[in-house]
Amino acid sequence: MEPTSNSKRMIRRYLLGELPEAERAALEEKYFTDQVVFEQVVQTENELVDSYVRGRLAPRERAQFERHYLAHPERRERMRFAKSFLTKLDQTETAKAVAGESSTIAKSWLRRLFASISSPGFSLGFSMALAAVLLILGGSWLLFENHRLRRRLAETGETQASYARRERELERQIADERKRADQLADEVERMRAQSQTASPGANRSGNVFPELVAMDLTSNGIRGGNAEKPPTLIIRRETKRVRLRFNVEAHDYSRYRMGLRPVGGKEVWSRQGLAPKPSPEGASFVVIVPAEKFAAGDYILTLGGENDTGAVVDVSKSFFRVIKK
Amino acid sequence: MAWVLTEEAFSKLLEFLDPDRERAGEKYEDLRRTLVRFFEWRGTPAPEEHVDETLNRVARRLDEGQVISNFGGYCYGVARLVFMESLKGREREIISLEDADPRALVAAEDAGDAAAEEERRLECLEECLRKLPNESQELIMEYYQDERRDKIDRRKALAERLGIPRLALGNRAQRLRDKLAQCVKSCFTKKKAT
Repeated sequence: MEPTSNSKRMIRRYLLGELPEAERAALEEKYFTDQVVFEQVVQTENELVDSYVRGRLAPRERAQFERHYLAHPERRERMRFAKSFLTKLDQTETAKAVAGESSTIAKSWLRRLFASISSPGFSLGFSMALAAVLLILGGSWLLFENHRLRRRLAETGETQASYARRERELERQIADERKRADQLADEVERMRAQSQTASPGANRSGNVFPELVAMDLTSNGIRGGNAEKPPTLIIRRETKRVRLRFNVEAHDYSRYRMGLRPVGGKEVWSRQGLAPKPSPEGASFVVIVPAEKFAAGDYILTLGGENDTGAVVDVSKSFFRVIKK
Repeated sequence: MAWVLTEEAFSKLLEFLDPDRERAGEKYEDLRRTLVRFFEWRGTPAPEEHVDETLNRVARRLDEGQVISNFGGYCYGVARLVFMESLKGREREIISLEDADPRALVAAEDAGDAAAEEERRLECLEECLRKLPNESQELIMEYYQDERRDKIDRRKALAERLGIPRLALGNRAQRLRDKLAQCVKSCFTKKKAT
């Protein structure tokens, strides 16, 4: 009896270690008392393993299979056996198919060959026979080659799937890193606010945290600064990081890209996927740039919105001067 | 003194399974297979040891004259107990095993010459297939053919040709697959050692 799709789903969850203990125990008791149920579990296991080997599991199930099922040496052994067994099955099927097609081709050509030999122009018949033999050999070779290429194609598909998995993993890592960077920026901001409360006269450029200097920028200038005179960032020898807060009036994108370059030079730093933080003026972006990225001179900080296709549209920019002490 | 499985106790177990010795042997093999899979699915590191322990305890109870009405359920209870006992003192080991990324374990095991190992496995599979009777060879190769669309029809036709119900065909194919997997495993271990 074939298991129903519901019971099959439950068995798959059991094999992938996803069933709660009570349901797990109930299923186990069932397959100990009913051999039919046991065979259904074995059948489902074989199907699950075969699907994994053939790359037919959905990404979530595949991940769980790798995390749970393959954690046990005996179960890994089952997967390896399935790999060899399915390879053997494929080889046998292909050999059968090739033999079948070759035999059809051979039969058809042999009929013509005999017809030629029995005809008055025997030498012509002989030539045709030779051609027929060559064609049979060539045809067989082509069929083998065709099969080999199909296998290569299937292998490439598997490799692509593995790359896709790796890409997803990297995306997750990037998201984690981004979250950590945001947390760090928030932390720094909080500490700075605390220090200013404790010491209202503290200099933003680094008396309290000599390793960190901070600067607020708005489009084309510093907040409250003189529009004709570019804002100045003083980087001292002990400065290790520069915290830049870029304020914009409106934000139409969900993600932004920030870039930094010296005037007339190439970009020296950038950050993608920045989320705007709502502020009284509109939105702000806080980034921390290593101080080593700056040399003395004039710089441009650019802000671009990332659209759905991944292209970046310029939104705003700000000029400032760096003085190194 | 630890209880040891005697021939007499083992005979009583077989007798309990079925008065017919041959059928009892088959039922014993079924029970063993179920136990092996149970411990494997539960993730026990050494399933065979736990299977022996479970069977010994069941045989002992029968030898002592205990009346068992639901034999399958009783065996499950004993197996579960053996499993729980095996967890004791092994928690650290289990945690460290779960912490490890299985993909890394697979990769580490495959770190040798993967292609050569796969080749050896295939050789073993061919050797093991040759050891099977022709009928069994055909059955397993046909049953597991990868044609999803007409699989049901093909299996139905195969069952009809062999004159057995479809359920029996499925069970036979699965048992053959298990047997083949066992054979390949021991062949591969031997080849690896040489």
